[in-house]
Amino acid sequence: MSPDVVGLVGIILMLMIFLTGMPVTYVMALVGWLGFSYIVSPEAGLQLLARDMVGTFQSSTLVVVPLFTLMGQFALQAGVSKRLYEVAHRFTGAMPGGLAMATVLACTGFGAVCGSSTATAATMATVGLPEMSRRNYSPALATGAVASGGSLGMLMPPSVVLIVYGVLTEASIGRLFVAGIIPALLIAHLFIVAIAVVCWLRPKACPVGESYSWADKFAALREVGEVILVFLLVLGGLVRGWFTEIEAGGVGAMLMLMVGLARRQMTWLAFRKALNDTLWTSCMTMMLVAGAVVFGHFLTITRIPFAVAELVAGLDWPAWAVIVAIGAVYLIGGCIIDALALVMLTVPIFLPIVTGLGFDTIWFGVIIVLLTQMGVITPPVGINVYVVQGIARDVKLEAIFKGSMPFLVALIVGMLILVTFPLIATWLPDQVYQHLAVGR
Amino acid sequence: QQTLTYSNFFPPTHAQSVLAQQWCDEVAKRTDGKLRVQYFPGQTLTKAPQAFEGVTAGLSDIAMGCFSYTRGRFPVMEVVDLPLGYQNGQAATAVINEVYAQLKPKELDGVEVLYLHAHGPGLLFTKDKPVAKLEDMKGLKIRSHGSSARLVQALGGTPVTMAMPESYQALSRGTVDGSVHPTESNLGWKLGEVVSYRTASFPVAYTTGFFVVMNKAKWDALPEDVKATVRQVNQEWIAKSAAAWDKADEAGLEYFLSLPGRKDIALDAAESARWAAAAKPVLDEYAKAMDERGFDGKAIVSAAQAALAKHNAAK
Amino acid sequence: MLERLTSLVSRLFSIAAGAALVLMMALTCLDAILRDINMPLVGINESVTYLGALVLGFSLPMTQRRGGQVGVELLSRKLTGRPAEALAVLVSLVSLILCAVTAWQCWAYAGELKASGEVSMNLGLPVHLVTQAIAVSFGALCLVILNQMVAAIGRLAAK
Ligand code: NA
Ligand code: NA
Repeated sequence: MSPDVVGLVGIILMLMIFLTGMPVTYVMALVGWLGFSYIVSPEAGLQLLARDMVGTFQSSTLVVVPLFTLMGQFALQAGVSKRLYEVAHRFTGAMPGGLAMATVLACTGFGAVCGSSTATAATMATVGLPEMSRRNYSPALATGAVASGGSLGMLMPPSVVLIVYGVLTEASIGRLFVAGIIPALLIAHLFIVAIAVVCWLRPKACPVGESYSWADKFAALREVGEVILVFLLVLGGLVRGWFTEIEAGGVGAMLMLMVGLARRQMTWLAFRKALNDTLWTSCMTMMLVAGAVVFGHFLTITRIPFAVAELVAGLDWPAWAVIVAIGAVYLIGGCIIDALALVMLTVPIFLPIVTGLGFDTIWFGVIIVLLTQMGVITPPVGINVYVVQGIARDVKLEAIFKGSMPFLVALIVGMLILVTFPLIATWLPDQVYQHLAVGR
Repeated sequence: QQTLTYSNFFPPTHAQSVLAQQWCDEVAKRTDGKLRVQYFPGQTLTKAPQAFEGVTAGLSDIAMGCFSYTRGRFPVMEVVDLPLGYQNGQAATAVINEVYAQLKPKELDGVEVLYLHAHGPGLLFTKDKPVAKLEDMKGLKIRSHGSSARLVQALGGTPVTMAMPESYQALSRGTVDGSVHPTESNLGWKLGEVVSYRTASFPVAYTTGFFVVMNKAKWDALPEDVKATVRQVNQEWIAKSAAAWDKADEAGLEYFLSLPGRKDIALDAAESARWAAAAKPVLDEYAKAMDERGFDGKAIVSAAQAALAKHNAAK
Repeated sequence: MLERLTSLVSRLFSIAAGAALVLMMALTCLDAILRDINMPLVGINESVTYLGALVLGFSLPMTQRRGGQVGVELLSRKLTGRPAEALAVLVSLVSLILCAVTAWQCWAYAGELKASGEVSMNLGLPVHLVTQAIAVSFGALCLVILNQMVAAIGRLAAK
């Protein structure tokens, strides 16, 4: 068998073993290991397994995952997430589907303190799903909103995907972070529109909540004052050079812990729960990455991603069509392997083409995140959907994937808007960094 | 006919990656397709620190990587990374190949060394405070990595260790006051945007040694005529790599000086001697550590210095 | 017996992981503070990376035990009775083989690292220790999977 045939067989085999219910990371590692062994040599396959596991665990770029997850868990245990949620609910609760919209807003707010979309989805599912279920929201809409809203965690800074992209492309991670803010707000609004459309089509899916006076709305805002302070400290400290990204995670976690202690909500029990949930959430996330890395190395050696990328790169199409073709690669590819691994494999090939066409590196980074967001909610490999299902065990996987579809449409619309108006991504970083540049 | 894999950590757009790709094409052309090489740039097959062991483990057949990412694994070749006072990339590349040919260190026995190269002089760059004499170094937080951190310490600065990808932001936000890096990185990593002064610290310039190695068994299995052709191409690529490093340095300097307010600060003869003297303990420390590991540390340092004296003068 | 051993091992590992995580948080804060008062300690960032590896490795047994690794249960959910239990046994057997091979290979890799004399970039710490710890964690993970497999075999036999 030629390597590309082996690659296709590997993909099909992986999808089939998925059906047995074996953990996704083990399936990817298993097929990757066997496939690499078949193409290169059994010894090389064994060596690959060990080196990829150790390499992923020791990755200096992914070391932020446990730290930011810890920050999020402390926020959850200190009741901060719930208060954020309450505020968003007061502002949107009276509209049909308002609570789902509040969930999207809460996801955006939590995304501002948490770098991982998985952790955002996990946390918001814990907080938001019981509230929505209590008020008779359709499970598909509720879980879909949490899984998709959680993906905003990687567009709103800080963001693990943007860090990986920045390392790959040597683009400034700080600029990438700032570039994510306006698109994240845009996507959040598109998600809200998507919910409104669902509610219009199926009024039963979203009951109407009570309405609050403006005084009550603003009274709730006061309750999240310290969260806004922590957010400003972490983001401001990053921009002002007080600390690096990794330190921002550690400092953020420490500050959230202090907020919890000051509010007397961080009991010893809550502290231990925050630690334990951080451990398994980040372990699961990193294992998913590690499995994807093994499988990704197998696909790399088959040269399939290169062949596809070079095919697209060689297209003599107008610029916008090339961008759409690249988007299609990520959308289809994201259905087969983990999007983060796909980013690592293809960005080095696509970047020269994209920049050669006159597109901005920072802008492309934001586009990549949007595509990655689509990847985490599309079957069969949709990490956020898995995470949400892990928390809402009574909702079926297919229901969550189906509930995510309106949000997928919103993401596609968002991408079209960004392709048409690139300034949405590049304007803010240019403004911020103009003032910070030295010697001029 | 044989097909091999080549893993390179340099991103595909980097000059050294383009050269490596051309090496693959040239080998295929001159062996009439008897040896073909599939090229995997940008860490897609093996990560930078795993490049060497990836070759011994068989994950890739050939790899380009750098000695300093795996401290302690290449004790003899680390001598090249010391602040010996490199004038240019030609000299650094000549020294690393000569040191290897002369000492044939055991640490490289497990592989077939195709060729080695090294980047141009690693110099001091600062953001807000120009450094014209040793005393100016005091209290400055300087980004560095591995052995260059020990140089910063010896010069009286405060080393802050971080990897290249984090450097831009750290400099831009003032997390650090300066950085030691080759002039090339001002353009390649855009560091020129966030530093204002270059101290022409050539007397203590360091370098980073890079290797291109091949799996031993795969090499031994090649027919003699193919081996001879590959060896010939390697010799040509040593010169090409060195020239590419120097060209990149020139472009980096031109870019740096084209930005407003940038200054290049020269050191006079007396100050140069002081800097070299200040950096000497780094060399002595290395020699002592090597003695402890059962090598003749002084001899290794002397070999590198002698080679450098010859090649620095050559240009 | 096996259940009690597994429970103990997974608890001990998660305590170690939690301690490493808290240390990691404290060290990053310390690093930021010390650098801002111009007294940076060389090598904190690499210590944080190694601690991160320990956090993730030590969490493996606990994550597996609480079913934290996600799977697609599209087909397996439709099965009931003996076929379902048989599938569970098969899945844990394959997982066990994979993790055992990973543990063994990580241990061998650690040995190679030790022999090569490789140390960490700035502090000169021996890097093989972290790899060894990861290998041991995968070993403990095998124990958890084995325990789950034994339980599944028990359920299969009972049906
Ligand atoms: Na975020
Ligand atoms: Na997907």
